[in-house]
Amino acid sequence: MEKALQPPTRERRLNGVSAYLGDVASLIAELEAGPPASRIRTFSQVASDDVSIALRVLADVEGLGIVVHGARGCAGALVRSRPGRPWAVTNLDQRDTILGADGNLARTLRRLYQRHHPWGIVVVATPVVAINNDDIQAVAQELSDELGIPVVELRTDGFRSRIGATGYDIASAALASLVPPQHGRRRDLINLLAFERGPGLTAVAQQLAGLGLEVNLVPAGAGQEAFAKAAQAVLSVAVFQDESDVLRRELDRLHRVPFLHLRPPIGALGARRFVEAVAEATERPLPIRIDDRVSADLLEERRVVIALPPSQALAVVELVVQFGGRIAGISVDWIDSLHVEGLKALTNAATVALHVGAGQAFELVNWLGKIEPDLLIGTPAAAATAARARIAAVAIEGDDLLGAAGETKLATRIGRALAARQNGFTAGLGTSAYRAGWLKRSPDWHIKREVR
Amino acid sequence: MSTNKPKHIAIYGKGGIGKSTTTSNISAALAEAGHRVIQIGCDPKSDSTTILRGGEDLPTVLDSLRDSGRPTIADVSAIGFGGVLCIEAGGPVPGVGCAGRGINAAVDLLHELKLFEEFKPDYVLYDVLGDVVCGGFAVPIRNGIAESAFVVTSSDFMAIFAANNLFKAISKYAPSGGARLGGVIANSIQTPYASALIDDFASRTGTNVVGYVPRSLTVAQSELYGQTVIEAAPTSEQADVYRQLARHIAGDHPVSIPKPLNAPALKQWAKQWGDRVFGGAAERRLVEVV
Ligand code: SF4
Repeated sequence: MEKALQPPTRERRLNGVSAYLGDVASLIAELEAGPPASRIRTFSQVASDDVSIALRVLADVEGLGIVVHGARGCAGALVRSRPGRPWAVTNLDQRDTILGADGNLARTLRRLYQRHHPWGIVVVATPVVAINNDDIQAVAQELSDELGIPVVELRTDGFRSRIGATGYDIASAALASLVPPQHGRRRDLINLLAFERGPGLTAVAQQLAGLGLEVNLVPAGAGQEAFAKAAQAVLSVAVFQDESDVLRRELDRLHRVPFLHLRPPIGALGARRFVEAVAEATERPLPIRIDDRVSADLLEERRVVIALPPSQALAVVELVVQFGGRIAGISVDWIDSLHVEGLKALTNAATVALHVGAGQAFELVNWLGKIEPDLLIGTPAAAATAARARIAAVAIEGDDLLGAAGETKLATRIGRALAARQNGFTAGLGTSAYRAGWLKRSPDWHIKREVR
Repeated sequence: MSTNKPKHIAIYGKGGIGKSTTTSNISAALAEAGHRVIQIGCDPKSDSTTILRGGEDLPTVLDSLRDSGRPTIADVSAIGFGGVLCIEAGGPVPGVGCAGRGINAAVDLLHELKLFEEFKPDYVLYDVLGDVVCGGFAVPIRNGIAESAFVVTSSDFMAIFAANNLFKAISKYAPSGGARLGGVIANSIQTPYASALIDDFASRTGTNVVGYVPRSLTVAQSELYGQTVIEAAPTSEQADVYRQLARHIAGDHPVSIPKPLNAPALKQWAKQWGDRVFGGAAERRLVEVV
């Protein structure tokens, strides 16, 4: 048995930062100088952890069984998954911790298999009772032989990392081990790595298919067949390569499927660049150019804050500039060395405010109050927070932004939000959740640098 | 230096019966024979590698993890005799935390820091506290850290008891990919019955003794100098004993799944040996101890 290594956290692997308030240029300097200072929040509102993100990723894989090895609360993130999804929780109690829970785990695996016949099962380790997690590797191996399907361990403990995106990494490490080795490469097959499936992704996949390629979508919505093909692909590309980082590395390490680094196919230009790069890498004729960009000078020098996941935020910067806007600030859940190039591309890095924090509504409101932007483009949660602070806001999410349609969609929503503002419409939400006294505090009063 | 995959070997033994001395001498003998060796102390006492590095202070992996958050290999290792890379996993503050899990965390960190890729060892020896009373200290044999394990025992009943417990853990995990047993190392052999007793225990548990290390003043003396026997008394007979053991471990040694004795059988076996060694008079006292 090989030692199953716990994938390193984003903090360790990529110098990830989960708490920061300052300007972009200073953070670039810090990231380039080596490991950044470790900052901790002494108070935190809501944040998704790596376990829930990992479970969300698994729940999107078709026909895959999930066994959460822990107390029932640890499976909470699965409760909202689609009906019919085969999952179970071992429901550990004190007795299992004292006496060992290998029997309990083996029983749960057998039952899940008998009832649902999944093509593979992932056993998810859980926080706190690490000694129970030590039971997993041996049982998984034994049951894999007995049931004749891959049973693999997903090693998370939910508290090593302060960055939820670590969940993508650990889920990816487990999923990559479900990809069976294959002989031979198919020059007409590529993997398109994405953790969310929607119309935007389908459109990008169609454009790639237009090059005469078969597009293998993994892992979101993928089933056994897609996993079986993944090792044959001539290369992998990702819509958001910061999320897919470990998956592409593992496909390369285990199956020698190379990865093509590309910026997200957001907007018409982004999508075209993406498709052209794939065409070039797979030696196919370039597609016919269709100029489907929104040309209007929509934003007229307005100051915009973007509050989206990091690679999306950095890609939307380009659209905002194209629409005639100026970037006043960026708020992201986390940032790491994969984003340095994107941050450097900002022309006015020294004057762009940067907020790093997941689920910290108070910080966001306070920070926005100091920046006073004309518009916020962000996730629905960020947009709601901004709207409550009487800032014009556009809510948009990852899949919505993909392709040329993403650009049109964003432009339409911006137009609507600005028109509503002009007409004095403030969504009726103009009451702040915070008292004035609170908002006088510095937005980062509870973020401390760890002293060594 | 070899380009082969390193062999990861755990050496277990009850605390205080000389497993660290034995492990360090095996490491020294392997190094002397030209192999690249890493010795990782997995005993919260953190003194496994002391005699390989002249008693110098060495911060443990877990202490460094606690203090700086991001230790480097240089922070937690020292080059000892013959180029053996010495590392102490360390443990939590006594009375707090879980020492067994500490081993796992420390080894994870060493992998993360790419220790094995960069140092390119031929052998990695884990010197593990052998009182396997729980899942904690079984970590190196159950989690794929080591592919084979040896157990150091004296003829002392508690050491045999600890060895039997280790066999239980190995026989539980080996079928699903855990480490297998390389054999028993009989240590501190002084009385004539000692090797016979350990031989008998080995044959009853379906294993074999791979080496007999006599009790020797040379060992005690070398330790006082803060050295292994290989370094302090390279021409001594004792040094050759360790060299022979090292050769066995370095070779393609056979491995097996031991058949541990259950509690009544072990008790019965101990009683028989009590009778043989001390005569009937000692019988009752011995049984009480058991
Ligand atoms: S599990 Fe074992 S090693 Fe860990 S604290 Fe308990 S007794 Fe100690």
